[in-house]
Amino acid sequence: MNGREEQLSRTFVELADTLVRDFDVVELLHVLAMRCVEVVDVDAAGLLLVDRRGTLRVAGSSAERVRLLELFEVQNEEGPCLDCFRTGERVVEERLGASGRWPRFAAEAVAAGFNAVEAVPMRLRDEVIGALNLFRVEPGRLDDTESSICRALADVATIALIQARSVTEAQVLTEQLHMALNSRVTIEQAKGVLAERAHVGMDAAFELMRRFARHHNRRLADVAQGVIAGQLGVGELGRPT
Amino acid sequence: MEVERNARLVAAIDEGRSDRPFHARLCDRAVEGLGVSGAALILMSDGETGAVAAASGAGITTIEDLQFAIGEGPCLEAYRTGVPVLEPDLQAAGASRWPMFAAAAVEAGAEAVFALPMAVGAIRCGVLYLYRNRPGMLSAEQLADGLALADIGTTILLDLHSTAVAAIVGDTVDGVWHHRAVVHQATGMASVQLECSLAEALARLRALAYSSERSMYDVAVDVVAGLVRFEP
Repeated sequence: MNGREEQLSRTFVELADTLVRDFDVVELLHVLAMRCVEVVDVDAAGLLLVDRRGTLRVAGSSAERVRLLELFEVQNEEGPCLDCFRTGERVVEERLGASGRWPRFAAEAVAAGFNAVEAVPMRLRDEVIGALNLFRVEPGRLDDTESSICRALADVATIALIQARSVTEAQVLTEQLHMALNSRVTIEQAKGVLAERAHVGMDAAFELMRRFARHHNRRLADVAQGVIAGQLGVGELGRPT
Repeated sequence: MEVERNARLVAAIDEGRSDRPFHARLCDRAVEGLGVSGAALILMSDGETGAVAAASGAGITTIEDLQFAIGEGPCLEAYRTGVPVLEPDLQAAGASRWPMFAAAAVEAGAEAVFALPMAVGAIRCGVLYLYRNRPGMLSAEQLADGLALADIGTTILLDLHSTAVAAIVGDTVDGVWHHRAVVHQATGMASVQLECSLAEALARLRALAYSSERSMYDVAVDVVAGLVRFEP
């Protein structure tokens, strides 16, 4: 197997694992976003989910830099994810800025260093529940193989969110969505608490919590709660490597 | 879009009975607009007990009381998990979810129950609790409205000491900040700087936004950048 195939195999095994044992949806979505950057030719990735009020919300990101998170958030006004959500179709822009598409979003993306963008829909039957958002520094687009891979990763995320339960999909989806999104808010609050206490940046704060969660086999959201409650501090989480 | 939905709901609540306070009218709005038989705004702080801040519709307090007396039920679950708890058919599915609560609730007239958490991440205020006297799931639109009402309820509860409801309402409508990561990060930072709870930190952030006539988002950006610090 070549490098990418190994990466992909590892990814799918990891993802399948989360479905079997105790399931941490926040960790799953984060892994998914990170894997996109590792297995296809993109420089940043984010998973956006639509909440029950139609707002696109970040559920997972390949990096926790505020600037990147904002690039996802502003697409509630305009951008590839909004178009993708509305049409249910993949949206590609090979040359941001030059094309004149989404003027405000494009300006911010280019200022952040990205010159190409794609949005792959996450679909459940007739519903578009979110989008996989990919950014590239180099202009251009993913080739067909890479596109298929991204579609597959997006599909796995959708399936993972639904799980197998004997209740209606609408109910489960609402509950899982809300859990993922409210967990994200808790994690953002904890990032702030930890960043202030430990005098580290938001990225580093996230990595400290994530490292602890994986090491102790706990959910990210639980670790975040621990940080907020004052039970987990620098002593327990360690320092950035 | 979220802003329009919130604006529409707040306008409808404003037009409610003037003899009732805002949060009571919010419950009235839930009953009128969501096709439910009763609604209650329940304050919770420890996950064990709840206080009804406002209610609308028949029998709601009985059914809600049951949960806290029994120690199980949709409100407790929603509060603890921070996740909406939706049960459209208590008779069919309730027994496996909440054995004691389901039986008592059905007898009291609740066939469907929906508990929408009032929370901002780790800030847990309570639950907006809805019930129906016939089984049936909320429609997508009703659910969206219900969640928006829970959000509005959260905003109100976090600002109980605030004088102007209009100001709170204005923030809810204009400042759609719930999905901006930087606001939640700033809340965390401020809570450490002020040595207070996240809820208080959020209120302080909001107060600073009002007094300086800036959006919550802009203030939050400054806090995270270290340009604004809070002193206890």
